[in-house]
Amino acid sequence: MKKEEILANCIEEVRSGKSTVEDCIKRYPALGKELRAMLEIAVSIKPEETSPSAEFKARARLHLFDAEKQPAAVKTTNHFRSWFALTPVKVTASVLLVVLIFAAVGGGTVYAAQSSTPGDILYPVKTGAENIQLTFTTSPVAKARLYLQLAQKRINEMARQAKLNRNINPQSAETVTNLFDKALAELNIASNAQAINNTLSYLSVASLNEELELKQVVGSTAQTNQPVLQQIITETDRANMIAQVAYTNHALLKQALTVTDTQLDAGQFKIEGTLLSVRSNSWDIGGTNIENVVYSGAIPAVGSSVELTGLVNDNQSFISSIAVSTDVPQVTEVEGQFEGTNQNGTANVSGIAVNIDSSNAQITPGDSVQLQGNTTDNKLNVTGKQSGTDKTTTIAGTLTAVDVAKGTITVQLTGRQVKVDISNAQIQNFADTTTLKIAGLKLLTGHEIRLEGLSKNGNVVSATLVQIRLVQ
Amino acid sequence: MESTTPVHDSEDYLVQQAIKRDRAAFTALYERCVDRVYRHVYYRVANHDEAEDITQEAFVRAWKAIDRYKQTGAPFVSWIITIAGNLVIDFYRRQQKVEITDEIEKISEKDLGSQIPGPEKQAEMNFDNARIKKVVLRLNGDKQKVILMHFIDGLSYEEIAKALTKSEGAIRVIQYRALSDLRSMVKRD
Repeated sequence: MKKEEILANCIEEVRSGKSTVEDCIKRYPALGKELRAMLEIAVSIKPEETSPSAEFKARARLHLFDAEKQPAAVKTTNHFRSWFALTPVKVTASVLLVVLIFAAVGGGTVYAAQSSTPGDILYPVKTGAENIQLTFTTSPVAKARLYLQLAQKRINEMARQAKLNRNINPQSAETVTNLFDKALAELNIASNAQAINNTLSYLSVASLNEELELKQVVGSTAQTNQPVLQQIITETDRANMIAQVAYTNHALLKQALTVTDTQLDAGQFKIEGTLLSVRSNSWDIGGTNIENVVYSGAIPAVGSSVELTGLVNDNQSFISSIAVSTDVPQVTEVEGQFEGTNQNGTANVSGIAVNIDSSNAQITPGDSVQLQGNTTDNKLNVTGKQSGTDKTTTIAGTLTAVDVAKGTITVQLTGRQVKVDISNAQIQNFADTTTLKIAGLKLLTGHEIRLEGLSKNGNVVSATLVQIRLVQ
Repeated sequence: MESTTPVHDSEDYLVQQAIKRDRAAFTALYERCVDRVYRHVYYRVANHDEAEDITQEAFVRAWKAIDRYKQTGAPFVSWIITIAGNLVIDFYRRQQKVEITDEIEKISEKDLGSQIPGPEKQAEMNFDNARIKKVVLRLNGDKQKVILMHFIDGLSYEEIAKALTKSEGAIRVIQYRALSDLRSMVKRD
């Protein structure tokens, strides 16, 4: 018997319970090792324990034959009338024309309208169809997702207009802001944790993509468009940050979030050191206290060497990741935004109270700072700073693949794979800042990686600085 | 026009009626197939909202194209799953722009040479569902189709052969190669 037939028979016998893997291997000892591995894999391939909801099945059943009745339905439904009623009088004539075209050519018009941009005759058809879609979307997560997709569409339209040097209406930026905020408000009331994470994962990567795409065009577009684009770049950056923190800490979504909140920029922090104590919601990391910690994962043992990233928002410290490092930290390191010093001389860095050695503190509020110190005197020295305007796009995730020949790596970011060209980047071991070659990263998949200076050229995303940190 | 024809129970009969644009027959087919189509899509997209959208769209498209359906002996559900599978591919194409990349790596045996773990490591291998799913979705072309049809959709070799218009022997060979690839991919991961 051919080995593929032996395998097929064994699979059927094992799956039906007639034989075990061991029985099959005994029967075909010559194929033993190979057969065992393949059978073990075969029995592991199973469908998910899931079924469509009764609500979905009923809804889908109702819409089975929609394709046939669509043109007539669009002309007569209340939704169309409500969209029409909302349309400004100024465009009524155009819309009327569009309706006539729609009646003449049916759904093709709506399809054709998809590539329209503000100012085009078909643009109201596109946004009208979107309003109808929103009306029919009811679950909070589905609605959040739709708002995010619409935000993405609006940003793509702005990028296209910028490339064509057309004037971008500042109202467009407001629309994008509203769409992001509405999506966050829907996620606030959503309850399906997995669906929330899928949406946050989408938000994270989509907003990163949009931010980098807008950065590609902002420099070359008309001066008048630049403030609008800069505003959206900032908001997509915040949306990305919210997604990254909320992905591991859904409690953040319960706050009233808006992408216009400048406090979100200031609140991002990273702290590394020895976890000295955990008392109630106050964690002492190498002499620096993080107060009002909100974290639902397992807390590392006191005495561990840890690196925490998170966001201080509304006096609460939302931890987004904890890496337990194999390096023994000699010092405590804090990264965040310097916000000033109080009367007692305690500095505020991203909402965390730290003691900065004032003798070398040439920093001003708004600067991103890196601080280092030892645990004995709790004083931290400023070891690096960047003014607020010099901040580059940065991501952190897990290194999942390295392609030495192409000079690219793949990073897992909120559950998605992002491929980045690092052929011109400086690659460092975070612990000792020694320089590595890309081939050296091949053995380090599964470890934490941070990429700075991200930019996009065509479809290629590149970084200028790569830092790898070994984690347990 | 809604049909008032009483719906016979056999799948062949329902399909024949549906081809004649009998809505009741198509609705009965929908009831029979929707769970399996949804499970197939959910396995591939891992998101309930997307799985619902794609499943619904697959049936809408199936109804639009029902008069072109050819009865090959393969179960009707395999046709809907094929339509749903194409929609999943479209979904990932659309996502590509969003995801920047989610490249499915093709792994050559040469690449694997230095990375095949020793016996202890092999003994430790834990074929958990999520890990296996990840590598199944990296398989290419017919290999992925056969594995999904057999293990996820629950089709027999005969049904898969009819659906893919190949011989049963060819399906077994593809399955063997697919499992062999999966074995290599699991070792590599």
